[in-house]
Order: sequence, then structure tokens, then C-alpha cells
Amino acid sequence: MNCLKNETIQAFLDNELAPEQVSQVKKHLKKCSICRAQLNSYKKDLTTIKNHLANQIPAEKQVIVPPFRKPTGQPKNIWPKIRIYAVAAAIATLISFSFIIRQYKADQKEMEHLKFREQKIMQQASMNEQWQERMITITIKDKKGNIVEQITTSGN
Amino acid sequence: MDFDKIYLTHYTSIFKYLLQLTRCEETSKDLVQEVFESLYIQKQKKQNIKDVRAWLFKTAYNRFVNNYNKQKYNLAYIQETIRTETQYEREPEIEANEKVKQLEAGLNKLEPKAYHLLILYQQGLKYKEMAEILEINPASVGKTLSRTIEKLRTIIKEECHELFEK
Repeated sequence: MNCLKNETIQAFLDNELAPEQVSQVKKHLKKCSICRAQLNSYKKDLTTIKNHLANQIPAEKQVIVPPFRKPTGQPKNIWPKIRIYAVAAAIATLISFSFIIRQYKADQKEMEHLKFREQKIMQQASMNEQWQERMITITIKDKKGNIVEQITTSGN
Repeated sequence: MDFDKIYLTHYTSIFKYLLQLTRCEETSKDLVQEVFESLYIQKQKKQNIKDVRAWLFKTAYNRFVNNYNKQKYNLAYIQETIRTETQYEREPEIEANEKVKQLEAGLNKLEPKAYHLLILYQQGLKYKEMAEILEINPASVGKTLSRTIEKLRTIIKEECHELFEK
């Protein structure tokens, strides 16, 4: 068997090898002094590095675990519950809006019609006035309703 | 496992991990609270989390990144500055030990990703968990780790030949 790779030694030290690989490595280590030396050197390095990294954290090695503060005011997802009502409200609003708009349009149409009629009446009235100002017609009828005399005079 | 049990079991390791990343106790406390809050919400939603420890570490890392992104900084740059800044701040605390200084200098020369891998490794995580957190292939964790350590050895040996010797 060839000498062990660095990554194999690393995985062996970290107990990350499969059982059959472990037995193979152990077998090889018994025979090979170079790999044994390499393994020991690795072991020492890893301990040094791990200890160093652990000591990077300031003295309080005993971390006091504070009681967990439950998240407050967590926005709950209420959408599934109100979904039906929201849709119904939206439809109702739409329908009522369309009714209001239709009503408004009908009202406007009627108003326009009334205005038009008023204008026409006013026009007629003014025409009559003008006519009346110009001439007066006197019709004399007998008992049977036949026209006896018709006198027309100018207004002025 | 119920939430309280997870909280008591993993609080310390997540806190220490965040402390190593941020080097600020207050920020770490806030972030660890945020991490467990999101776990609490996940549990309430009854969402299944396969590996809680890996999930917690990953969330903690994401929170850490978000926290710095909020300040519109580049993560790599921050990791560099945090490490160098805190190194200066903490210098009087460290014993006048040449080996420690050399090791610290060596770690500072590593890439942020490699440094992060070492932090996770120091926390005693399994390769599978580290792979999940760092979003890399689980099969390559051992290789990356051994390469990182090899790199660290080379860097240090360049400066101090005696560090890893008896």
C-alpha cells in the first residue's frame, strides 16, 4: 500500500473515514514509520491550531445562557383566514361602484334632456312674446261659431 | 428535540462561533438571539430541519454576513479588518508568546474562507455539517482542511521554523 495522503490522515484523525478505510489506515500505520510520524505531526498541529482558535475568545469560557426572549409582535399570516372576506368585499365594492357610475350617467343624461327642453320652451316663449308684441288679432264670432269679423292690429 | 433543549445545548457553541467571527460580544449576543428567533419561527411553522446544528451555524453565518452587508462593507475586507483590528486590540491580552503571535499572523494570512473553515472545525463540526454551511462538496472538506493546515504550516514555517517542532 502506498503512503497515506494528507487528507486521509486528516479524515482519520477526525473520525470521518469509513470503517473499512480505518482498518486499512491502521494496518498501514503499523508498518510505515513515515506515515506514523506524519500522523503525529498532524495531530500536534491540529491541537495547536484548535487551542489557539479556542483561546482567541476572551476569558469568559463559561458562557452564561440567557433565557430566550420569544419574538414579540410577530406578524401573523392572517391572509388565508380573511381571503374569502377580502374577495367578497372587493366584488361588492366593484358592483356598487358600477351602480353608482351608471346612476350618475343616467342622471346626467336626464339633466341634459331637461336642459334641452327648458331651452326649447324658453325659445318658444320668447318667440310668442315677439309675435305678441308685433300684432293683436281680434276675432268676432256669432252664436253659431262662424267668424263675423277679424281685426288685426299691429302691437305698436 | 424541542426548542428549549436545542437552545440550551447549542447556545454556547453558536455564541462562541459568532464571537470568533465578529469579535464583539454585544453583536454576537444580538445575532445569536436572532438565530434562535428564526429557529423558533421555523419550529412554530412546523418546518422540518434535518440537521439542527448545521442549520444553526449556517443561519448564524448568514446573519453575520447580513449584519455587515447592512453597513455596506465587503465581507472579505471586513474579515480582514476585524482580524487585524482585534489583533491589535487584543495584543496586550496575549501572553508574550512568540508561537502564539506567529500562529495568529499565519491565520491572518489565510483566505477568509479557509479561516472560516478552521473556525467551524474548531467548533467540532462534522465534515457533512461544514460542507452544508460552506455550501461545498462533503467529499472535498477533508482535502480542503488538510490543504488549509498545510498552507498554514508553510506560512508559519517561512517565518518561524521552530513553531511546529519540539
